[in-house]
Amino acid sequence: MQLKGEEATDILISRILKGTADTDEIEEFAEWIKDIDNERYFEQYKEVWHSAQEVHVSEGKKDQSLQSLIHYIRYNKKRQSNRRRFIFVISSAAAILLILGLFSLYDNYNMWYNYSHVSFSELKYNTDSIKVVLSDGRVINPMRKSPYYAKEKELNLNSADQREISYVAQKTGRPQKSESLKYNSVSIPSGERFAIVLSDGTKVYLNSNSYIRYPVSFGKESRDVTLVGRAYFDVQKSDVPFIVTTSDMKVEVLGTSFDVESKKDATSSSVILVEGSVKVLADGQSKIISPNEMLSINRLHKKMSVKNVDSKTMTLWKDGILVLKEQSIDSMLESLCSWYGVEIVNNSTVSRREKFNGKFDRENIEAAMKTIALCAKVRYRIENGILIIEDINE
Amino acid sequence: MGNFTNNEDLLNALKAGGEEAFSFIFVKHYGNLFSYAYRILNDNSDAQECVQKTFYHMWDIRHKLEIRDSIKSYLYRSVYNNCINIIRQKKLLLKYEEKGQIDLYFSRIIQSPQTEMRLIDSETRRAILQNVGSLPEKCKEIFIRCKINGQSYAEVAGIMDISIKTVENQMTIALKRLKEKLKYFILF
Repeated sequence: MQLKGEEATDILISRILKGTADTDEIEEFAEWIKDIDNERYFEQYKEVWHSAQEVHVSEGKKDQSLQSLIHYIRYNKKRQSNRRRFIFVISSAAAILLILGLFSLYDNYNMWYNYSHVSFSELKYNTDSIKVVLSDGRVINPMRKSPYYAKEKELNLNSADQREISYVAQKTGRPQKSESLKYNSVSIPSGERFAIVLSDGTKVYLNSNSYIRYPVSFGKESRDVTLVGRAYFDVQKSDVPFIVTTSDMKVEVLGTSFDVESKKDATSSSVILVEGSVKVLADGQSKIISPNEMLSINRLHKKMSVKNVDSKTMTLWKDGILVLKEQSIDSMLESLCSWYGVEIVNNSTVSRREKFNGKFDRENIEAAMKTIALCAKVRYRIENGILIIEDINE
Repeated sequence: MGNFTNNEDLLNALKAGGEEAFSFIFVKHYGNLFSYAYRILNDNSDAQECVQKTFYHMWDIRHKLEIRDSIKSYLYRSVYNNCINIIRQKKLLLKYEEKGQIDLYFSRIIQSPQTEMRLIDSETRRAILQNVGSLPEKCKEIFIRCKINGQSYAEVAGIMDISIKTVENQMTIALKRLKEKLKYFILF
């Protein structure tokens, strides 16, 4: 083949392969390839043409396409389970139901999709464990059953519920004088929850970030416990008064169910009564409250106030459901941090005056975050294991 | 990202709609599939759409996904079919239809998935890439423009601001060097 001829042939072939050949060229090519040598030439040319072209796709484009695929998968999975999910939200008490004004789930449907790429597996959870400090100073983790622990003298670790210990069976003969009482204490980190049955049969539910100190066996004059954080008490009836002491009040009862909240760095502490009656002593004042009343003590002005609440709902946390009522975004996120044992940073500009209501179950922070993002009109991402909340148009 | 060393595990994970499994095969094959689609379609965004659709479709039909030989060959066949659909939609073969040469296009011109898969890991392709790659920069550019892009010597001379004679000389050098290395080719 002549060089000139070869040049023309190569142009023809590469235009055919590139799809830029016009009708005349196609006709010319169809004639040309009928020759067996030409056909061989073309086959090899085609091989070189396909081999020598280095078609590179940028990492950015590739990543973008991968993200689209992941979106597609999650979006379709969600769409397929959406009907089921919606019924679940309404019917299950343990599910989430955030209601805010005129908010409509369907109008905002597309937003579910926008958050779906956040991978919650990257979220860092608190890894501290529940600690029980025995009277001799030894520390045990009640969640970690071991033959060694099971033989503990002071308490019974063999409860059916792993998140519960009991002191009921630990009979130490007759009630002892208060000076000789032996004390244990339990601390609950964020993201955890625990229950203790005290020696008199009183059951104490402890919320996350709480601490309680109590005698292994109560004395005969009074039943005294010390609390930091939040606990729900189901007190066994007895003539011996049961007293919960916190940093700013004493709650005294004979037999009843109530909820005490006295967090270390909160602006107020409170008592919610479910049934019976309780006497609250604080700062030289005393007040008796009735069922479905909540007494709050403002730590700044030391003022006591009482209001009516739905005590059953407000104490649902002991059954594993977090209920938020009329909370600002910051206090809501703080509750979630403690409840799920995660870190959340709020970079959004949502007004403090906006109030949120909600019910969240313990297991699923992802569903909780989606609902919050939808209601508060914010978005979130996870960076270094921390959840970051920010405005959508940031 | 998950690492699937066992084909059966991977296939089961794909059938279950596992995001990890889909990400895994996406990352593994995307580059080659895109390149393949691009060489058929000669258009960046069409090629991207084609490969994207391939993976979307694979997810849609995951329950009845039947892999006769390998996931890889399923993907190449699927990309090929999607390319043909795009070519049909865009009526890119009108010129061939006019001349009654549709058969020629499908039998000779388009790169079949079988040929592509044979070529992609072949010694031939490796040798071609390596030898074209080791040509002097200018020489390589002239070779690519003429042999791959189908530009005439005069065109290339204009674009590169050199004389036609230089283009001719550089092509001669390129072909001579390639001929030494790739002896079994009649092409050079």
